[in-house]
Amino acid sequence: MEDENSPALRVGVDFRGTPNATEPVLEHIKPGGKRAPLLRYIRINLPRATRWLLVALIALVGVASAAVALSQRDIFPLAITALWSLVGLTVVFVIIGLTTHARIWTWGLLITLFSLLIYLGGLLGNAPYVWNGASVAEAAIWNLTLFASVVYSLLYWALRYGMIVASPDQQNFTD
Amino acid sequence: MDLGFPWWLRVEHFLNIIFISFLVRSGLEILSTYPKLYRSQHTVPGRSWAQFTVQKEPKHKFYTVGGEYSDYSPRIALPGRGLLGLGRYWHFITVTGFVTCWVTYFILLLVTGQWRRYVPTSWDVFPQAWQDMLSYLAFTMPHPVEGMVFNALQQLSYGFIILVLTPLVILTGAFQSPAIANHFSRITRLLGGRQVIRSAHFLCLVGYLAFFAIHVVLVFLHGYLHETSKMVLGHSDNPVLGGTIFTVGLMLLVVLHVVATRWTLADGRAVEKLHNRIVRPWSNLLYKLPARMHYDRSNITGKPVGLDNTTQNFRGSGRPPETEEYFALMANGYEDDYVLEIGGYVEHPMTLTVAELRELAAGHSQTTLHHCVQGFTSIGRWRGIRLSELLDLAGPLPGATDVVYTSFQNMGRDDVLYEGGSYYESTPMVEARMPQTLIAFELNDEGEIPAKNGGPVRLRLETSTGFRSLKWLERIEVVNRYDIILEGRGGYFEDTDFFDRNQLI
Repeated sequence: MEDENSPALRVGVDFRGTPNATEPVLEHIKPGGKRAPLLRYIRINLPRATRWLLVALIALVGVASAAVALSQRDIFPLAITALWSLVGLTVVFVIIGLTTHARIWTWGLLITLFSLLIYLGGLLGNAPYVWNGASVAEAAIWNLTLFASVVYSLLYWALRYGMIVASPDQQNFTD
Repeated sequence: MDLGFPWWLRVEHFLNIIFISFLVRSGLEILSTYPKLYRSQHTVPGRSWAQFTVQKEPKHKFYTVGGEYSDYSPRIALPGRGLLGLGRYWHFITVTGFVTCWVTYFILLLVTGQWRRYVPTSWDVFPQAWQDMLSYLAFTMPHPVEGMVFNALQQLSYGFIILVLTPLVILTGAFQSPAIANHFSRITRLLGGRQVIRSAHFLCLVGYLAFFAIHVVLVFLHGYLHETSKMVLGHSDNPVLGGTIFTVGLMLLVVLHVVATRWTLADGRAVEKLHNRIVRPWSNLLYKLPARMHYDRSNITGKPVGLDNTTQNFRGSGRPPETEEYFALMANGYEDDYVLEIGGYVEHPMTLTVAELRELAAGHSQTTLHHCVQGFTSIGRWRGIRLSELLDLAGPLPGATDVVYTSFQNMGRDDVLYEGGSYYESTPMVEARMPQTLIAFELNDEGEIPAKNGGPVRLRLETSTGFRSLKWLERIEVVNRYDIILEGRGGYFEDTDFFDRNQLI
């Protein structure tokens, strides 16, 4: 380190040679524009809470799918097999999510896409809706797979966009 | 009883749409000037839990809080463009209406028995609300509870918004006020400190927005014309008429926002006048709340406390004077050369060196929380002498009403962010004589006040927002009117920007 008096350099922040060394810089603003897209202004740095939330959503997909599978309803051919496969994947995901620091979010997205695919199959088949003879609770649990999957997908997008971060990553705010 | 939709409830519903939408937009303006949320009151750079900016501060150069403004669009914030003072004016104007409306509504709920629409009178409501939640999830519409105007889940959620979230947003908003937070300092700490309160206030906003989004979706699912008609006419016998009137009302609301934004950007002083008429009658009452903050977990008794809770690197919010005179003072360590002048409407004009101030202070100190108008906080142990003691020595003449403080700082010369001349502030005598209004000469037992924090001598006004605690103090002048000084508004930012001299909120 060349300058021991620099607090920034002492903590490993080295922007020497860039405009940001001595001036504020504005990111994500297109040439000629004044402001960045609205969502670029949102950056949440709650990595552990976000990790828990993402894992919890996949767990919710798994629990709801297991409940649907246990009802033994003939949603479409091989639906029960597909649902139990999905449950297995969610179990693996939750275990890895809780016991390691692995970045498994894209795998989570694939699980939610699988879940959405099953939901789509239900729409074309005999899904447990009230108007198909299912109880309110059965229909709610079935739709829960949809809502949890959609929310996870939205959070995944927010993660990739930089609005949120999940442990072990963080926003690396320096100011 | 027939709960129905009485006229006052419908009026309150529409007024709330106006107030909350204005509060959200002006609140975003306030957020934009320090778009970072923290848990710690020390607001250490890099430790925020959320940021709402695309600006990266200089990494190898000192930057002040003044440079952290973010330019939000006037389409989002009121008025946008980083005009904090005007955003505050709108926030306080609207909050006056919002709180008045809520208190009136609360009283009417109590006296008319309409509180039953929000407060469960049976434990059965909770399992029923769970069933209603399942019904919504199952894409079916739950039915209202017998004798009620809406279902159990709606009852609980509306009750939460009106009876929990609204008092919480009012409480956390009130504790943004330095006068309130530093007077009721034990409650400030009980609530988790200034930055936790600020974060909670923001999360209340998120709560309102989430409720609004779900509420609107459900209004459409239940039938837009049917539901809005109930909020206009009190019944749904003529849904087309009710729905049309409600829609026109919403359109007028949009027009109101556009007009308010453009008016504010075109004539900020007019908004200031409106603010002074509406807000000052109650904000002036806060002069009755002197600060009594001594930042320690177990002590608000007035005894000096140690450095355990102080901020290691007290944030700088202005640029030191760049004059030969000030550099010479600094080079000589202030002690021999610096002289504080006290004059004006006093019997005994005087000059005091730092050593004399130190002797007069006899070791007095106060450990207090700095409330920046933008939002940052730092905790400092300030050693100094109470201004009231200095005023007693100088002896204000009969008729003296205000105290004016002049800084070595010249804003146009010293800080690229600003234009204009000498930095000055003024306080009414009541604020000057408050027990924690201090002429400070040492921060955190470092022997002096660092240049970035206002050395050699600065003012500490613990009841006001930070910019009124003038730094680099050169002269104190007792006057019988302040409105003939420069623009007549009582201070540099009051004159050149849109800030009220009453900065107790």
